[in-house]
Amino acid sequence: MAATRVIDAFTLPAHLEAGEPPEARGLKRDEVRLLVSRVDIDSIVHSRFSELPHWLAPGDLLVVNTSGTVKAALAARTGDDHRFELHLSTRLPGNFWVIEVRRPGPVASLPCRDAHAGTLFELAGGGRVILLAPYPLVSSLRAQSRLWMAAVELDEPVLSYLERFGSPIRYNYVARPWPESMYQTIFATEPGSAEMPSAARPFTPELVTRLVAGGVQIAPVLLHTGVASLEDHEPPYEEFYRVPSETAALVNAARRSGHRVVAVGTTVVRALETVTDNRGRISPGEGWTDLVIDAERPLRAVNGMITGFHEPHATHLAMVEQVIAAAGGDRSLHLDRAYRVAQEAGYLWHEFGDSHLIIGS
Amino acid sequence: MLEACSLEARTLMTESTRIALVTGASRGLGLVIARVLATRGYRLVIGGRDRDALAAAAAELSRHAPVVVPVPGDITDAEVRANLIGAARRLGGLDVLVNNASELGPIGPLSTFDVPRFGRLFPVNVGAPMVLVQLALPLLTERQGLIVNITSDAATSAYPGWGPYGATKAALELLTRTLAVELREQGVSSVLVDPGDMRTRMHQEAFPGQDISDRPLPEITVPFWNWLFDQDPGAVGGERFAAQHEDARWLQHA
Repeated sequence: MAATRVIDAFTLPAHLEAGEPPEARGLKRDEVRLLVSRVDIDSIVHSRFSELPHWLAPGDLLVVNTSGTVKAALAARTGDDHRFELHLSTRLPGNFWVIEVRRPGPVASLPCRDAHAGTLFELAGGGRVILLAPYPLVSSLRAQSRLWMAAVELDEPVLSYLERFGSPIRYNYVARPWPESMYQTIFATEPGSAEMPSAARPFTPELVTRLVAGGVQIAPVLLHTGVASLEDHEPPYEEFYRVPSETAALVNAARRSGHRVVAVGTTVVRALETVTDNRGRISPGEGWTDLVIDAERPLRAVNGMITGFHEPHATHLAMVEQVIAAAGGDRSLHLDRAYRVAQEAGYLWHEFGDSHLIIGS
Repeated sequence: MLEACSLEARTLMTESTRIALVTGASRGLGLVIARVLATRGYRLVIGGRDRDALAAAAAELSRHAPVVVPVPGDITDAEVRANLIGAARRLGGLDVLVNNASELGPIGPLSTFDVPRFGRLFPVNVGAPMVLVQLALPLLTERQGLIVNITSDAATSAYPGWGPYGATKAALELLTRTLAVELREQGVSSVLVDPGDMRTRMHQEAFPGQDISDRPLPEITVPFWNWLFDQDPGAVGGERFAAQHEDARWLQHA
């Protein structure tokens, strides 16, 4: 019988949860810690994000998500005057939205499964949200659900409404609200993510300059993140992505010449792998993806990753295991060791926490 | 304008961050030296045979040091030595090389000493430090660095039972003094440090079953190391220091 794996069994102690942005801890964005996993030689190195250029080689390709974070949390009330918080997760085709219904809590909002199809929420400024069906629609309309497909009726475009009335989505390990700027990466050019694509948060203009001067390439993709499956162990659902033709060409060229393709974040892995054929060639593409990377669908193009630290059982961990395998490592052994080390050394979890670089030779 | 200036200063500071390599850094004196370097902001490459102990040391050191690269393995292994120096090169060079790893060997009278045991003692205590110096020399030359070789008073006096270990340290001392002269011109300095008796695992091995709790912990040498790393290497090159010397310079308050 295999020994108990840390990643299956660990409970995240409160002191390892990043409860505030690194800036509030007196650090620059790129001064967060970086655990470097050279998985092909099973080596684990402690570093800082600002030292990233040391761990990459000329010709390596970093692929970043250019999606900007929107203020996706809205206060809402029902006709009987109950208060709720709605999280706008994902715009679906036909302008329907996937939304999460939550109730106000003492620190931050809490999950709520009491809503039912047909519930009408009133928003500030005269907007309305009507729940249509549980999402994903797998059983009956009457099923209990956290996520709903909904119609959002506003007098103005959704993005400008959110800009005026929304606030960044925040979970209870973050004790107080922070300005929207804390939730943007330097690569954000097109708003649309319900939650920050946080793997790129530590990048600074200076660091990018040093990377580029060292011969590292950077290419963009877009994936608008939905709400995280943090409180429940749900499979990832559909998200909107776009892989431009120039990026597809750069990834294919990097792979041909034996350079690493390092995805900055799980969102980038998802976008790139969605448009990769079974021989590892990438084509440009755009649409909604429901791809899940795990043992049944190993990676074809991506072979390195920068990411945060993930919670036990999170579906993201299955993806991280596949990155380790693609980079030439023993996926469960290395991940187990890396997470043990990260906890021992006091690395921080979540969107304001520390980073993990996973690469091969 | 002010902001631009501070940005530039900050970049320069990062660029000038220093790099040190310490062998035998999993525990004892090596870990103490690595801790001093970590709190001084050095990027560290650390070696040690016990992979788990080395990983634990790296985890602890990473709370202060901006970078910690643990390289597990036996320093008599050429690949391990190449990895140690390769790691330093990747970080940008080497300012301080601390040859701390050593082996005690059998303690006992020379009349019954199993002479072939030298076969392991010399490669660990003398051979490996010399090869590391050779491999590190281009990096040390570029940054006008410092070589620190750890020695013992058993190298200079006759302690019954300590002959073989003392012989290896005596050899290391002569080689280090020779290096100091040979490398002076290219700006690389070499020093010898005798840390004195300490309560370490190695010392316990020398006195099996005896209570050595009267010996100080290796932390007693911290003032010395802070003093040493404050010095211009060129000004201390060629010296032999006894870290626990009572009226030493590093214990004088300026």
